[in-house]
Amino acid sequence: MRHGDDKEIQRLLKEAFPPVDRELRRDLWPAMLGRLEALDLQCAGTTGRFWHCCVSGCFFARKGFCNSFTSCEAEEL
Amino acid sequence: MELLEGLKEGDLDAFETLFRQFQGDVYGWIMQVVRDRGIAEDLTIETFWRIYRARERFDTEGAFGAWARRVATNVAIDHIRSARNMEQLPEQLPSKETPDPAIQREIREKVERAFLRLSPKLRVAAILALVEERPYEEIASALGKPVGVIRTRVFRAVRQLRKQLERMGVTP
Repeated sequence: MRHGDDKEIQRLLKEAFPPVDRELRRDLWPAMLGRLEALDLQCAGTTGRFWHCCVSGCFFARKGFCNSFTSCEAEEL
Repeated sequence: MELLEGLKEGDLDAFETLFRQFQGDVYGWIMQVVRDRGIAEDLTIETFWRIYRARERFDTEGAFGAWARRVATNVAIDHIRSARNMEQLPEQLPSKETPDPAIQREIREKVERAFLRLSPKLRVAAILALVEERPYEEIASALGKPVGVIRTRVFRAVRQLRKQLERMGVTP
């Protein structure tokens, strides 16, 4: 490719994409903080669901164990 | 260094300080690529979000600014990649032989269309190198690639743009 072609494409691109204002006009920290807090809530929710599942699991497992124990006792009797 | 150690340990105050210090730089860098204020703001937050999530992998001996810029570039490329699927790539426009008062506008639109057909990686390289005239070394650092790769990408972008424009009746 000739160097002139390169320059011409560059000129066309510069015309198609005029300069943009690159300065940030507002503080984005509040938005960032909101996203981090959402993560915390999500994690808390996930942790809560995890413990709920554990407790429920233990409860039903224990109940099942007791039932089987009772039925064993009944069979023995 | 203390800030970076703090970030690595998940100290929110350290993260906030770094965020406030670098948000302008990250935003400005992304803005050059996406050229839309709202999108650049969203992608700046996405960049810092990814930084926060990957904080444990950050090498505290390295420069935070360079790392942030690299993450920002990847975020911008991902955005272009996802937006690209939504973009309606137009069919080839019929070329007009006769002069037109709005010819400049038409050419500009054709250049934009040809540009949209480039892959995200070529787009980023072309816009940073040719439109923003950033040094190749700086682009290479932001993309985490050798300078030679960036030169090749720019070369390929120019070649593809020229082909597309010729098909559209614009002969650069």
